This record gives sequence, structure tokens and C-alpha cells, in this order.
Amino acid sequence: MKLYSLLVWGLVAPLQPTGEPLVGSTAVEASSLVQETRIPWTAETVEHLFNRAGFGARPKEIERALRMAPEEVVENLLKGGRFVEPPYYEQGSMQDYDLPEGVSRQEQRRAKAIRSKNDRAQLKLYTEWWIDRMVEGDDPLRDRMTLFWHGLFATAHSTVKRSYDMIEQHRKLRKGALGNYGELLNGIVKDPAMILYLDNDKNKKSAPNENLARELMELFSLGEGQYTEQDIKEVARALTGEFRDKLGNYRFSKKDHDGGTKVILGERGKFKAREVVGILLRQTACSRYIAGRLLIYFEGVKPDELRLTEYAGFLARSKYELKPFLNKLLLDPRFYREEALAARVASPVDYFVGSTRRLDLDLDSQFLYLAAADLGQELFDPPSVKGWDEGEAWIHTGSLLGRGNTMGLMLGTIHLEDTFLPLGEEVDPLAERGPARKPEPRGSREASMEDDMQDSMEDSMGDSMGETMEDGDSMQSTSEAMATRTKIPKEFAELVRALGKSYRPSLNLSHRLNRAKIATDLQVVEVMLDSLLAITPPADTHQRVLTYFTGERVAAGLTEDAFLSQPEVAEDILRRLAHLILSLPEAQLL
Amino acid sequence: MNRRSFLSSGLAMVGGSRLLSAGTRPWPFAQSSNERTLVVLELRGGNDGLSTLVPYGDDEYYKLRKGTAWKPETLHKVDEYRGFHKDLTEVSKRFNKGEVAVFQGIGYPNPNKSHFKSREIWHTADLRGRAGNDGWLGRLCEQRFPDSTLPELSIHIGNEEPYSLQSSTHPPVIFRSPDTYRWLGDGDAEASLDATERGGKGSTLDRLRRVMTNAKSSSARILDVLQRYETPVEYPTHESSRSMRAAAALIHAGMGSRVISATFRGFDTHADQRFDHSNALGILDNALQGFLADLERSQAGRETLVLVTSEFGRRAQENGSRGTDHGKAGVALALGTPVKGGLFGEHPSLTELDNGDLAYNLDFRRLYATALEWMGADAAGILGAKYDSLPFV
Repeated sequence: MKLYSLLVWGLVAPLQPTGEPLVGSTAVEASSLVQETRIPWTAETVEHLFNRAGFGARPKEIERALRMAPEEVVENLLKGGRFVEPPYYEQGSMQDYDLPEGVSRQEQRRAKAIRSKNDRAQLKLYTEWWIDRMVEGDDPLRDRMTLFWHGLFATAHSTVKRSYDMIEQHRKLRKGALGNYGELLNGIVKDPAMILYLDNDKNKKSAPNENLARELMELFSLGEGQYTEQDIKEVARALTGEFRDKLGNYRFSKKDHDGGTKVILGERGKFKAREVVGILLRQTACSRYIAGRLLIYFEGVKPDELRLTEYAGFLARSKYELKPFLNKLLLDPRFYREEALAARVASPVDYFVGSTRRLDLDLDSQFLYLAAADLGQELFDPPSVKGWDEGEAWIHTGSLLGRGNTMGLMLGTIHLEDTFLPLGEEVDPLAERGPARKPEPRGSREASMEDDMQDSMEDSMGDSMGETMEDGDSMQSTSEAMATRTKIPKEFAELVRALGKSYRPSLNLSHRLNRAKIATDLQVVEVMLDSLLAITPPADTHQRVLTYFTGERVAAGLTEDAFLSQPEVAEDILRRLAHLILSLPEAQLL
Repeated sequence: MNRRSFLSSGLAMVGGSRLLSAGTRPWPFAQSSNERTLVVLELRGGNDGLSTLVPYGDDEYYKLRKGTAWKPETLHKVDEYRGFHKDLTEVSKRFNKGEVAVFQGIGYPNPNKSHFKSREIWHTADLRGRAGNDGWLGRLCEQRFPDSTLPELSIHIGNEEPYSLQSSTHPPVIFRSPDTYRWLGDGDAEASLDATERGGKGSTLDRLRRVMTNAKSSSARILDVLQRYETPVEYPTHESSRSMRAAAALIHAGMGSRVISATFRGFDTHADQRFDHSNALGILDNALQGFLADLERSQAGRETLVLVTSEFGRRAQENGSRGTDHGKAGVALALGTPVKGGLFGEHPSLTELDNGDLAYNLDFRRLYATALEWMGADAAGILGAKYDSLPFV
């Protein structure tokens, strides 16, 4: 975002008569933290900070930050904002309480289904609360770091099946998100959800289970290849007896714990979980691994060896305290270097929550949850203990089109009923054809395949046409296409339900532009591109978007100078313009 | 909503092309195709070989697997020593007809028991993992079809890009469901979504632009084929089976996809393995039943080789949670009309273990080399060394 569009989008007064970016305020120059290079403090770099340390910025937040020094902004991020109480949740939602004697199997199954439904509902409520926190931006860096830890200490509800455990773990991560990594690691080793997820509730002296031990070293602390298979076996022994009780509390079972001597990474002793964590924290590999994960997560670029060593050393010296580390990183001019700006592919949560904030949309958080989940980032259900593969792995042909389609639902520019059967009339014409044909003997079938298939195709078109004709009145000459409409795919149906049947986006783009006296096609396109993208798009993209916009305006019969004179027409075009821009490859970079 | 722009564009793209073609164009069966297709199905999590091809004739098996063993009478017996898991009914049936190759004791030197590392090794055929190399199937596309610009040359049906298909020059098309794999917005906007120009900021944007171009062109073709597809073969409703149905449709249509991949989940059976593993194998067997029968209906289908792989096998000794921990050597399968069935490799010894794990005796790169040669590629060029092929095709 540039200052120019900030003036329009945020509808603020100019900060400087020239409109030039502010480089190095007095406070910046006075700072001892920034010596050789100053942080270029512009709308663009402020937006970068908010994209990485939070979930994007609302226009007014950029304007506010520009009036402060970088140190002050980062200090506020580290200090955090208001605390919002999570919704009430309870332990017993999925408790394995015993049903009375003689209850039939059917009733047991029913009881289990009800418990499981309640359990999901409880987690859903909590997830929505978390997404609301991201959208509201009460404490953006804390929520950014919570998401980081959720990906690093990945635990999936689909395996754990206990919302209470998942919520407790999340609260632990969120509370400690900016605290001390060592404390977090100690917490996660004894975390009931993690114990269930990685089978440590079955890790006994008599029969060790290595699942937690392996991932503790490979994914949570040291990184692959920094230990031996023997180390894993020894750590598994040290973790024996670390259980979870039936209700979801941590429980240490002395009789299942192997109290013997272990040799772990060269150290020898009768270690338990806490000592194991101590050993891990003393490894150089540990500070390197965590510093590396943080650097790449925040910068989107792999750090060079010198930088990694510097940050890993800093992390170890500050005893894994996270605030000094983040303070150093976010005030490091290199964090704002050209290479790191908009170099990170937005995760689905970044993309949907960030767009909601940039557009100032008011959306049901259930929608944002489902949207991100469909595109590969389901909160509380990462695909594996390795968490999510970040970066370019988010984008492939299916997910890129999917992001655009979901954005269209958010902006109200996609009308699924024009392509699919409306919700509630989920009659699949293809399914109305009667039972599938039984296979015929090979050979005979093949010879007649083509005619046969063609016939059946024509049959089916005929059959289903009558059904859908009645609601196809406004679509003359497309009734044949209507005949092949299928029901709304499940993913979309869920999204539409989450939006609500009478959803209208809380947007007034035409008003925003009108108030700012934006008049020419070029101005409209530049303001829209600049406010919705984190990068300055290449010239050809700029040109294509401009051509699209002019084409739509002309098709609507509006002249350039009177574009905003018919807000209802202009608004529709502007929303479709926003949809196009947010669906571009450029919009995937933050 | 601007009706005009939708009608003039959205429908024309999505429904319209079908509208024109439905009555006039032939059913999408390739007239004749001698082109071969390789299908790779990955069992994610590390499939337990000893519960897949069960060495019921070995007393040691019952000693190692007190809580997870299968009794001889439950199995589909292969010989006096081995039997297929009870839920591999179709695989067993086809094996008995000589149509399934089973690779026993498959693995690689210095096995890595991390899911992620071992998966990288299988996907890249490089013992260093993802050392900056493209995936083995990506390299197949690069070498065998250097001039192809067809985006759907390689396809993954699922939600996540597998490393195996990664290619800097031939990136795969990925979709989960054909119904959602298309642009549903304003059709005029669709035309503006992608650029032919490259050279935006860094190479990431170039790659993203290319993904968009590929998505637009492939989605129209794939939707067209899949929406018109009919088959007398009945598939189960499970998502994996629907993926296999889509794969069969694409192969029959002869749209030029040479490599297709899909994933089956649920094989990381650290606890309560008997139930979970049976379930996972059952889903695989059901999907294969439909898929293999469907493939037999066309020449292109009969020129399709199906491989089933997993990142590692599991520990010989069960773990006390009625499950098994990560191990080394495992089992792989090859199926389809081109396959000459039989057992390959030795069944790994249950007494001479590699630090508690089954030792590999068959390098998975021999399986790959055979498949690559069958695809007409120079296997050594792709795998970086010469591996003896196996006589299963």
C-alpha cells in the first residue's frame, strides 16, 4: 500500500503536503537499535510489518502506525492489546462416562454420536473465537505466534477427538506464545492432547512407544538428522508413564515409568521428561532449528548462514525468551529488505483473514474457518504432526482457483445458483437416471460403446430438462446447459450456509471512491490495486486490470467522468474488480 | 449481479462448451492410444508390510505380533508361508490370476524412519531427500515429454501437491473435485486472471502466474471430460474411490495425462492397528476393484500401470499399544493389464532383523527403473544410476 491510496482508502488527511513517504522519523534516528541502515518507514513497510507480525492491516492502522516510530509500533505489538475472554468450555463433553448396565449397543452408539457432536460444537465455538481475535486484531502478534506454535507443535482434533484437550493446549500456546520456548516445550511434552495425538498414553516401561520421542526431536526441537535412532529409543524410555487421565488431565504413572539410566545425546542419567527438555535446549541444533523456523516464517525467505547463526546465538543467549528475539527481528532493517517484502505466499488464514481486514468486511468467522480449511489450512486439524507446509506449497492449480472462488462468495460476485441447482433443491439430474447399468461382457460392450454412451447422454439431457426449466426462465437459450446442472458441491454448500442465506457483503466501495473524488479509470484501478495487493503489480497486470475495468464500465453504459453517478451499477463493477484483483497470482503474496 | 457479463462469459466457459459438445462430439474415449500412463497411489503413514502380506507360516510372526497378528484362517493365502490381509480381497483375487506383482522387503540403504524424510526419499528417488531436485515423476515428465506444454501431463487428485510430481518445467495439475475445479466468477474477469508475461517480482510470482494459466486451461478440459463420464463400473462412495473414478475417466478420454497420482491415508498405525489398518486397506481394495475393472474397458486403460507404494514398513515387534512403530522394509504392489504378476524380492526375515526392523532386500529404485523404462524413459538418467529392472511388465 502506498500513501496515495491510503489517503483514499483510509479517507485520512495527508500526513505530509508532498505525499512523500516518511523515511526515518526523529525517533528512528535517535534509536540506537538501528545503526547502519534505518528502517524505511513507509506505508509499504508498515503494511509488511502488519502482514507478518499480525494478519494484515486495516487502512486506518497503517495511517496510525506511520505517525509513530517503528520502535513504538513494535513495542505495542509485543505488549499486546485487550484480553478477550474465550467462550465457556467444559471438560466432560467427550468424557468416557459409563452408561448404565444393560444399555443396548444401539443406545451406546447413539450416546457416542451425541457426545461427538457436542464435542465438535464446543471446538467450533472456540475456533470462531480465535478467528475473531485475528480479525479484530486485539493482540495480533500473539495470535500470529500462536498460529506459528500450532503449526510447530501440530496436533489434530480428528485424531485426538477431545475438544477440551485441544482448547487447553491452544490456551497454553496462546498464553505462552510470546514467552519462553523452553517453557512451551516443557508444556507440550506433558500436554494431554499431544500425549493422545502421539500415543504417549501407551508409552510404558513394559512396552515403549516412540512416537512422541521421535517427533519431539525431529519436529519440535532439533530438526531431522540431529540425533540417532538410539537417542529416540532412550528418549522414549524417559517419556514412559507420561499419561493423560480419562478426563483430560496430565497424569504421571510411576509404575509405568522406566526409572533406569538413559544415555541421550551423550548425557547420562535417570532422566524424566523435564531433564530431556533441558538436554534438548542445550543443543546448538535446537536454537538453530527454532531460530530458523521463526526467520523463515516471518520473512518468507530462507536465512543465510550468517544471519541464522546470529539469530540462533541470540536466542540461546537470551535463554529462549521470545520477546527479545521478536523485537530484534521486527526492528532489523533487513526484515524490511526488498527481497523479503511480499515474498511470502499467504497461507489460507493469512489470505482470508487478511482480505477481510483490508476490505473492512464483516463476516461470520465460521465462513473464514471453512474457507481456510477447504484451501488446506484447517485450524485444529493440521494434516500431520509436521504441521502445514508453508510457502509456495499452498498454491497449486486447484487451490488457486479455489481461493478466487471463495473470494467471490465473500464479495457477493459469485452466484452459485447460476451454475448449480439452488440449495434445498438438491436433486441431482444425473442421479435421476435410475440404477447404473450392469457391466456387459467385455468385447460386446466395447464395440458398441460410443453409440451407446451417446444415446444415454441424450436421454439424460431430455429427462432432466423438464425438471429445471421452470427456474431457468431468466436464462433463455441456456436451458440445455441448465439441464446438466448438478447440485452445489459440498464445499461450496457449507460456505454458503456459513455466510447466511441473505448474505450481503458489508462494503461500500463506490462511496469510498466517491468521497475521495476519484474519477478516472486509471485512478480507480490504481487505488484498488494498491489497497488490495501487498506488491506493486507488474505493468502488464496493471494494464489487464485497467482494460477489464474500462470494458465493464463501457458495457454498463457509463462514461468515465460519470462512473460514480450510478452507485448501484458502479458498486457491482467495483466488487467484481476487487474480486479479480484478489484472485490474481499477485494477491497470493504478502 | 451483472447478468449480462455472467451469461456472456461464465456460462460460455463452463456450461457453454459442454452445451455445444454434448450432442455432437463423441463420448470422450480416445480412438486409439498406444500412449502409456503411470498411476502411483501412495499409502501415507507407513504401511505395515507384515499385516499386508502376512507371513502366517512363520511362528516368529505370532511371537512378534501378539496383539496385532492375523490368524491363518482369516487370510487370503498365497502359499504355505504368506497370505494377503483379509480385506485385500480384490488384490488377492487378481494376484491369483497372475495380475498383481508384489514387492517384498522393499526399501533402500540406510533407511530413515521419519515419515517426512522417508517420504521425500521415495518421492525424489534421492537418498538425500529433497536436495533441490524435482520429484521422480516430475523428472519423468521432463525427460520423456520435454516439449509437452500440456498442463495436465501430470495430475494429482487431492488437496496437496506431492513432491514426486514437482517439476520446475512440468508442474502438475492438482484438483480435489471436478465440480469445484473451475473459475465461477465473472467471465470477463477470467480472461484477465493470467498473464503470458513472465518476469514479475522474483520467480515466485512467475510460478504463481504459470499455475493460474495452467489452472484455467486444464479446468475447462477436465470438467468437460468428468462431467460427461459414464461407466458401468460401480465405485464405492468413499472419496478415494471417487478420485480413482476421475482418474479412469481422464485416462479413457486420452487427454494426454501420462502420470496420475493419488493418496490413501490412515496407515500410521501406532495404536489399535487391527481395526484402523483393516479399514485403510479395505478402502484401498475397494477403490482398486472399481478402478482396475474400469481401466480394462479401453486401450488407454489397458496401457496403464498402477503402482502402490508407502514411505516405509513398520517395526517387526509390535509396540504394546496394539500398534506398530516406524520401521524399514515394506511392501509395494504393481497392478493393471501390463503387469506380469508374482512375488518379487524375498520376504524379509523375521529373525535376522536390522536393529529390530525388517531389513530391505529390494531397492525401490529397481521398481521405479522398471516403471520408467516401461514408460519409454531412460531410467538411469532419471534415477542418477543404473538399477536392474524387474520382470513384472
